[in-house]
Amino acid sequence: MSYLPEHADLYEWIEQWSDTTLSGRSEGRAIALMGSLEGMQEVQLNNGPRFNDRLLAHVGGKLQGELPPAARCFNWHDKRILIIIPDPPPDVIDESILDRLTQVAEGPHDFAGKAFRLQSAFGVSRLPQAGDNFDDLIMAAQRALRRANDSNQTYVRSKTNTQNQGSVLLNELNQALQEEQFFLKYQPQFDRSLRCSGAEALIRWEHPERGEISPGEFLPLAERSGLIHFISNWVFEAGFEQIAAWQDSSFWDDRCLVALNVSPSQLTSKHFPTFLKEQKDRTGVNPAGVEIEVTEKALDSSPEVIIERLTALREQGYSIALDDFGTGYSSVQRLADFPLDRVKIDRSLLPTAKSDRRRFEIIRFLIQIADVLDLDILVEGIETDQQLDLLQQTDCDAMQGFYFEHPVAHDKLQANYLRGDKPVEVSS
Amino acid sequence: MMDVLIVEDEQIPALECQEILKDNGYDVVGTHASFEDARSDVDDADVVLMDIRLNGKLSGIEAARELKDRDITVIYVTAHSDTDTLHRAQETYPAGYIVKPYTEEELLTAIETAESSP
Repeated sequence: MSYLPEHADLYEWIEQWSDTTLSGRSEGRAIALMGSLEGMQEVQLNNGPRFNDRLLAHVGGKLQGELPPAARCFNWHDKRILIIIPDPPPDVIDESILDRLTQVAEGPHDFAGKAFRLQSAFGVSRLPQAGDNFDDLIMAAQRALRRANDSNQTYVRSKTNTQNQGSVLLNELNQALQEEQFFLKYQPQFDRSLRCSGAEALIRWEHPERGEISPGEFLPLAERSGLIHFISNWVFEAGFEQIAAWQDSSFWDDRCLVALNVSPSQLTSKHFPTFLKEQKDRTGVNPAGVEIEVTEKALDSSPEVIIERLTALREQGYSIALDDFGTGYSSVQRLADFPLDRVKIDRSLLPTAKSDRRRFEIIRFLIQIADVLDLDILVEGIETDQQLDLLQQTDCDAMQGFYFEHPVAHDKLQANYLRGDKPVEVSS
Repeated sequence: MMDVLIVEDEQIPALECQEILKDNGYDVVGTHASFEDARSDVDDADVVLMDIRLNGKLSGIEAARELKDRDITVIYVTAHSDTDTLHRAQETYPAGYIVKPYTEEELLTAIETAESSP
């Protein structure tokens, strides 16, 4: 095909399809895939709009080749492709086909004697889940595409009108806050001589009927709804109370740090400094024993505000750790630009075997950089004695992981790790 | 798609919010600066976007308390996120809490989340 059909053709096609639906020959089911193709703008600038549209048709044709014959592909504005699949067979759009479509869309495309590579993302929606007409279907696909682009994912499926996201409901989150069903567990951290050097506080939910619910089940819902504002504050309120109690005890070692995770929205909130001061005054906590963990994602929004905020926190005596380093852009420049005390290297960078020299060298390199920048390094996710052996060959400052201990209740952390200075005993 | 009621005391943010919703296929059943004025539209709405500071006698939190008893979904859209406000707002069991200035994505995601998790 020379060019892809456009809006007018789409609406005409929809009318025909709707007539078919109304006459009872179809069940009114359809899938929409809205694809964005980054790189088309450069193609247009360098080669002109007609060339651009022909390349789009070339990509559309290749995508259509991966889909059922009834699928139709349309040119949706300059760098977007809309694919509609009427009456889709079950599971026609599973993860493997979405991966395949992404691969096909991105190329390389050999076209008119030139080679192009594009970057793609897809939003996927379905009828009847997205609503009761094609406008609903297309808008749901657009929203899903926006989420895909915003979150740097290659595809996102539309949320539906009736689908529950997991089994956790918003009302239950509110109830959990009101009825004090949340609690903190603490995962101990160890220095190179395997003495406990602190802990990371991690939120848990003890549901009255379903038992302990993992944060992976409820934090995404809290983030999406904005109820995370309530939960993040609760973490600091409860965490400060516990740290202050430990700091008052005879066994507290002033070198210990307890880490609390701050959410991106909480960190950028203008009320956060006041909130921390209120909690400090209320509990009497000494900030020198508190580490505030920020994620790489939190550094993405308003860097100037974040730098100012983190600088002020450090001046008040809090330590700042960058969490999950290695899962995002992992920019070394950020380590230099942001006021940090410690970098936590994500488990995904850990060597899985002694023979995995490349990952080991990456970690060693990061430790060297951190040393130059006067930052401490903590490696997360230690699960085997081989990993421990490898890390002990480096200048890594601290470690954390299931190999040493899972997150434990405050009294267990106190009894087993905070009292006494014996190195931890780990079973191999 | 859900029918949305906006209760917001400032005209420009209310209009901006309304634009975002309409562009994304939502029906806005009403936009009011006070809850007293909004009351008549409440029954037509699936979700109420509620500012906290409002014209009229009732604050957004007091209004949400009334709506909680009637089992109507409320998402706060407010510039306030101080400890006291958060505590009082949370007691009304809102379906969402969006802090101004918000992005279009934040607003739409909160509404979609309320749609899919009653």
